[in-house]
Amino acid sequence: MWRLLREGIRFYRPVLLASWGFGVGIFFLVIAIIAVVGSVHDLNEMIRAGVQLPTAILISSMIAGFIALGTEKGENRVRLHVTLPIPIGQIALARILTPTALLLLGLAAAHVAFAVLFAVAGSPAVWLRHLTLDFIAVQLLFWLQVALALREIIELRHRARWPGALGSKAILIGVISLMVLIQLGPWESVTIRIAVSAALVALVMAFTVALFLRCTQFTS
Amino acid sequence: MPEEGSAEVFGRRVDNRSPAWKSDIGVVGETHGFYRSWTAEENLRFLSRFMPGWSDQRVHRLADRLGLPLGKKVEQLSKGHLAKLALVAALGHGPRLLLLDEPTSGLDPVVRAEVLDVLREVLEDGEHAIFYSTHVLSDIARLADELVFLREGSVLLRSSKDALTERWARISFRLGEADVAVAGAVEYRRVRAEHQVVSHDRDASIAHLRELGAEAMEQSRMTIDEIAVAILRGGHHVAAS
Repeated sequence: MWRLLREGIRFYRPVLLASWGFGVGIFFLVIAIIAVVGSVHDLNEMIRAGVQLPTAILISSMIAGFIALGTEKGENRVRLHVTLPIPIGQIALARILTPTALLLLGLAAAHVAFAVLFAVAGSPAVWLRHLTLDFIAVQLLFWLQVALALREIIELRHRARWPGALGSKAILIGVISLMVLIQLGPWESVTIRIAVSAALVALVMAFTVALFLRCTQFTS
Repeated sequence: MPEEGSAEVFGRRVDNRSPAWKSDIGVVGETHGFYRSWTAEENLRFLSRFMPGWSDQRVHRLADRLGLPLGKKVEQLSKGHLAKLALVAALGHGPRLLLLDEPTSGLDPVVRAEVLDVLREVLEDGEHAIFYSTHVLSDIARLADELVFLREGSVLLRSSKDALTERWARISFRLGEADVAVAGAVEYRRVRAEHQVVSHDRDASIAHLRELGAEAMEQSRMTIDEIAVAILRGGHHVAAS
């Protein structure tokens, strides 16, 4: 599985780097526009807020993840992977972990960018902002995984009758509702929100793997 | 997709949880899952990392033989080159069984001939088997030993190719201006006193026609294509007075 994952990351590395380049480019373009039409005060405030550049990196990593999802589907990758002598469960895991890894690489890069920004601008509450980044990342990861799960549900609908996929849809809608509750709920602690969101992400991932295994079963 | 039962490949149960049996097979389908922005060479290198028994020497020999441009990106390859890449990829680890699903679909005659030549070479040593699914019967006319005809997922007939070509025949004869039921006939056609049958049992049909007193009997061998059409059509009756 790790080898398959490593090869996947190697394949999408140029996509990830191009996405980062694009995201960072847009960020600096906005900075340049503010610098021209705004004031130095606006610019300083923006740098002090310090989450814009890391957020741009995170979002562009998520876009790379979605590009990976689309490419895997468009290039019919599973057709190649299932011919390899790898257990089907490991193929399923590599499928969900490849876009996840792209986003996590983005998260690491975002933290580095954030640390550099604060080394330059300084802030008394760096740890809090780092947690904010983690929270954003786990939210983006959730929607990435929901997209993957949705794809498997669509696949299941092609193979099973409509009611057969009904339970899967209900589970997914339930998990999305929970995530909405976490985001809109009254909980103050970012750490708790991150932990619960991460648990939901893990749940969606396990669900996607189960759906994939069900769709690719040789006999039922 | 089968819904029950089991399968074995060289005595090993087909089980997706312990996939060692896949090392013994190579698969070529109508569609491929190659990494399109990688070159053919990179795709083959990718496969080599997973397939025990992979031989770069074998791969390069095959690629040279087929004129496959290994340095080209997959997205730039023509359909013919893609089919060749799929064949090279399937043979790279020296599998004992090749599973081919319409591998020559949409290919021009030259590429098709090249692919079939390679498959014939694969079979030559008697150590390899090919399971070939196709609608283009001329492809397998020279390759196959055993044929299975399927319609809507059900097996209509399973027979050796030699037995088929030996037993099936088109027989024309003259015998009065009325329809006759001929033993072994699957297709029947009559224009006045001229009759023609397609028989799946040549000997039985000839013997029966002799008993009926048929005259000017002529029989001709049928190609695999013609036999397949007769089998898949399920036999019919045409008469014109």
